[in-house]
Amino acid sequence: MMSWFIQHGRALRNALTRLSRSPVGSLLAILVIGATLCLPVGLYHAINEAGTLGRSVLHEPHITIFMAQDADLITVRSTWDSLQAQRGVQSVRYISSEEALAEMKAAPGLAEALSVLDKNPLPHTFVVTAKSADPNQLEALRQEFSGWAKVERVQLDSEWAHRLAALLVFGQHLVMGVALVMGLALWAVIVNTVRLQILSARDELEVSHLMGATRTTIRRPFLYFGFLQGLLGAAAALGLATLGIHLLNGLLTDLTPLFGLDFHLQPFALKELLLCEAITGILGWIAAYVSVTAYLPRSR
Amino acid sequence: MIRLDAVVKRYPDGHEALSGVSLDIEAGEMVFVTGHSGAGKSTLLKLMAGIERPSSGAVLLNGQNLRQLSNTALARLRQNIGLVFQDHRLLFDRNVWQNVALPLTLAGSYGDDMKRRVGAALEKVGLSDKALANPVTLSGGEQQRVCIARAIVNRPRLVLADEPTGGLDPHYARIILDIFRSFHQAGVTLVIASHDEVALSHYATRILHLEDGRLGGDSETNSAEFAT
Repeated sequence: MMSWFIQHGRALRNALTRLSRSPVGSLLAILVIGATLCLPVGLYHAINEAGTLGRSVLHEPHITIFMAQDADLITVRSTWDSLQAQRGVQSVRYISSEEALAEMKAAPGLAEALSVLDKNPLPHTFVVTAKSADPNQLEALRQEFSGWAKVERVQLDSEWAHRLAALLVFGQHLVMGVALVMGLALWAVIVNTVRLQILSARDELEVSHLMGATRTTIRRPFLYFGFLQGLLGAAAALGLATLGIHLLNGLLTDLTPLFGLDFHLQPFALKELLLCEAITGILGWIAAYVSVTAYLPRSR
Repeated sequence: MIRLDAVVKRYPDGHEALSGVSLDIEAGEMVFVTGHSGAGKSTLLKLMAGIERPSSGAVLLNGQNLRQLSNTALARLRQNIGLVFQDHRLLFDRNVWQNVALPLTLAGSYGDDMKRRVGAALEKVGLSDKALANPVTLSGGEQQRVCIARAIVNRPRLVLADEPTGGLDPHYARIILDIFRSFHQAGVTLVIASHDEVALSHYATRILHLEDGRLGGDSETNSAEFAT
């Protein structure tokens, strides 16, 4: 057992020596892998984050009911009672036209514009929180409320979130496609660098073969080499993507308030970091295995 | 110890390096294989070492038919055979000690046992003081001795040497042959491919003569120097 650990330790040291023997070449290869993986990793993270935003909106499905201008307080009271009796409704918040006007006047720049109006143009409004976020049930409620007396317009507030969710599903498929292509590129880079390592170590491999090294023993350092390249490439990709997130957050700080949102991309979670490292490391190991199998000299 | 039975080795280009060679070598023998260039000496050693497989016939080492062994089994078998090459096959990106330790490294040895064995092998060939030198700084004779130290570091019972004195001046050649003779006296079986007249006349006890891939002669000798 000790011998097994010693053999693997030597293989790992051999792989590290190969990496450090040509630092510029190794760094360039790692940067190529990092740049290749940066796009799918960054896109995947951004889409996940946007999905979190969409889901948080969908978790509180709101329907806004705008009453007609000429709706009197008796009709408004009757609508309130009907809403309270509705099975699909979780809660109702009433905003009178006066409250709405007061809120608007508090907004900078609007007070002056509203002061020139001779009467309050805002309707009485109900903000309904539905029990279910199911799009079909929300649509059924919207249609029912639309048919009530003196209801001017019913707005499904989470509609945009559903559109976003549909877009995100499309985006996820797109990222999968990009990841597949970039994974192939990563594969090709590692296969080629391992091939070059085999060519440069031809004398050593030949002597080792003559001295009784099995193919497993000869192959092992190259597998560690591919694995390490994958790990370091993933680290470079995550570093570049983190830099991208930082820069993007600077832009989002100015952009998202315009849409009434407070949205920032979070840094990578530990689970995401480990998953990315593991997938890329394993991919590097497999690519190295393929390369070694193809390019190691065979005994006659 | 070694038996070849009607061995034929044909390369993919159609060249037949060995044609129906049969012979027996007993444990503890010191056998020289002679023949002109291209007669099949190196091929014979490669077959005995399991580096190559015969096209037909059988090569048996301690009763094991090498043709039937897997590549992995052949590799493990080679760990117990000492190989010496005319061109030394040393690695110049590591020092003498690391070159000699290579077979032990591949066999999974480590620690004090490895240090002791490498030290003993270097002492045997008289290069203890060159352990940390790069092989490229050594003379041809010294490089060959490093190659021999590497071949014996695993304490093999069989050493196969392909033209070990080729390209060396008579002084170094004699040192190398004396080392081989000491192995033989210690009970190691040696098969040495050589057309070195000095070696044949002073050290050989049995000579196999190859002619165009066929065994043209198998003779016992009474080397005067060897007997002393």
